[in-house]
Amino acid sequence: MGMKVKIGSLILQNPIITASGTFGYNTEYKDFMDLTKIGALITKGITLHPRQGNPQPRIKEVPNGMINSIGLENVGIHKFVEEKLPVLKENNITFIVNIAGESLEEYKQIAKICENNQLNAIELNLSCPNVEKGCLEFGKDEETICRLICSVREVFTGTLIVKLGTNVSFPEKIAWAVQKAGGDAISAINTVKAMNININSDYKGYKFIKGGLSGKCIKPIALNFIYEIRQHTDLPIIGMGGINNLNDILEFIAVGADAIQIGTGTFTQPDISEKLADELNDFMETRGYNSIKELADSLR
Amino acid sequence: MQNKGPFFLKILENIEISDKIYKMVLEGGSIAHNSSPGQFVSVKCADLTLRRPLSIAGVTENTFDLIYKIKGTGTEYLAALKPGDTADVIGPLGNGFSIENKNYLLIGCGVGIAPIIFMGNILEQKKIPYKSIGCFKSKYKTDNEYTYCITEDGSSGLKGRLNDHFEYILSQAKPDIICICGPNPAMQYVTEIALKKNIDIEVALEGDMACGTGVCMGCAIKIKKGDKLESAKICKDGPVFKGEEIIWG
Ligand SMILES: Cc1cc2nc3c(=O)[nH]c(=O)nc-3n(C[C@H](O)[C@H](O)[C@H](O)COP(=O)(O)OP(=O)(O)OC[C@H]3O[C@@H](n4cnc5c(N)ncnc54)[C@H](O)[C@@H]3O)c2cc1C
Ligand SMILES: Cc1cc2nc3c(=O)[nH]c(=O)nc-3n(C[C@H](O)[C@H](O)[C@H](O)COP(=O)(O)O)c2cc1C
Ligand code: FES
Repeated sequence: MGMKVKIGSLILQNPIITASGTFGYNTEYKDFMDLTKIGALITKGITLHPRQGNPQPRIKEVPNGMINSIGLENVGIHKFVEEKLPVLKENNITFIVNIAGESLEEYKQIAKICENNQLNAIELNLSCPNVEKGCLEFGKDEETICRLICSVREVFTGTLIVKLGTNVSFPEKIAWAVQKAGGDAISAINTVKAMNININSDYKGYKFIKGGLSGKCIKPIALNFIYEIRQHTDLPIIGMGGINNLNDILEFIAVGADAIQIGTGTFTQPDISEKLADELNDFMETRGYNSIKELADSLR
Repeated sequence: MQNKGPFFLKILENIEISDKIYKMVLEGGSIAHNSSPGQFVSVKCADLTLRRPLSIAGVTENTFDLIYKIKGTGTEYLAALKPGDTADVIGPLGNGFSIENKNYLLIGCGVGIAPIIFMGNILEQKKIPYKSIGCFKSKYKTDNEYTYCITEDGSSGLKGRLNDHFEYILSQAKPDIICICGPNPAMQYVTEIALKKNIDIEVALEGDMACGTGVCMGCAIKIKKGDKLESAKICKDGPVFKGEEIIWG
């Protein structure tokens, strides 16, 4: 058993997953680490049609984190299937496709294409704060989430992970809704809506960037979110938000996560996911834990 | 596959060569062997979330140089490092200038001189003819020599700014190709003249970066490819682009 975890029908060799938007589409990080060491790779958010994304500036570093306003620039599902997917398969990488739609119908269409190409797992992005239409508005209330998951379920038989953000009023209701509607797992959290202000040096006016906050500074928010939803669902939870070291992983497992994702941490340390997979393995061996479940039971 | 780090590299030298401008020499055979002018490394600075991109300013058998200006927290941290300390570096990243058997004019303005020094060394080695322009506020204490040095305060070479002397230098140097790195207005000025005169031009752009490796789309800009607009990542497709591709904002 060791570090293996099961998410829906997907079996991961370890619980360390690289987060959407921070690891590319396939082998972009091959010059920095051994890609076969991670549990799974989640692709950049993919939409039905290619997206141009938002104008510059798109990035701003803030204390212990960063704000991004990429606006889901991506190649679209067709080019993904044609060009990026074969590379994932050739390299034997366990992967999950992150998808985002502007409408319920679009989510369904993308999921159908994933099904037709025998893709094992998708993560529905219901929480991107950087696009005007779609995503976030589907993740807000339990009724819309239910409808969305049900209609994706009609066309997709693989593992269905639903990615939530914190910009919701009742996380526990949403978690329950995901389970009821047939989702296999919840991942959380996406970036947190945020803004950075730069006052002009003559004190006349200011420049700003609005976007999604990620990195170390959101870890306490993420831990609290996962702690809350854990009380309301039996589904596997994939936790993320500012994970940078082994202790962060243990904290997420303690509050209820079954697996974790690393996002911004990869920008700081490109090989962090491989390093943490090794460290977690060593830790479990030294301490005599035979499975992630044993470790979780002990921590909780 | 090429191992691009992270490498923990020993700092051999870190000296101030002009006001708030430093030169750092690092031990690092892998980066020294694999990099070409215009490529950059990205350095972890203490606990900052994002690495700082810096151009490679020259290599020897086992070392490479950086030339950087103190701008904020990251570069302040770098300036405080001492010989013997280590730096956490990834690279080489991005694509550099094209190297062909042509007559080159190299232009570096301010710390934009970094990739230009490296390019000069490589052309020298390959016995490709070139002339160079270094433009600074004031003289740098390094042993680099430029065909034309321009300083705003006149402390070395010609007094003034690039546009005071550029057209004259161009008429003397008669290059087939220009490579430039510096502030955008200077690069735009030179690009416009080069395109008018049908001289090939390559520019090394800067932009705020998160990953530096082409995955986050944080540095993506629109470039012109023929009459189409395409998205390009400064960190991965650049930082060197053809002058005619750039849309000057
Ligand atoms: C490909 C590339 C190569 C570069 N090569 C060099 C080099 O050889 N030598 C050198 O001195 N600098 C170089 N830069 C710029 C350098 O990366 C920034 O000056 C540095 O990141 C500033 O970090 P800081 O923490 O000191 O300042 P911060 O506190 O991050 O910022 C201070 C100020 O600098 C601005 N700034 C931050 N990052 C950048 C950036 N990437 N480009 C322009 N302005 C920025 C900020 O907006 C702010 O106004 C390069 C940038 C790129 C993208
Ligand atoms: C630059 C950037 C791009 C992102 N793009 C996506 C995306 O396309 N889809 C998505 O679901 N999440 C996206 N995210 C969110 C991350 O997957 C993750 O949920 C978030 O950053 C929190 O984790 P972290 O603190 O470890 O980065 C992005 C984050 C960043 C920083
Ligand atoms: S900085 Fe991430 S794509 Fe260029």
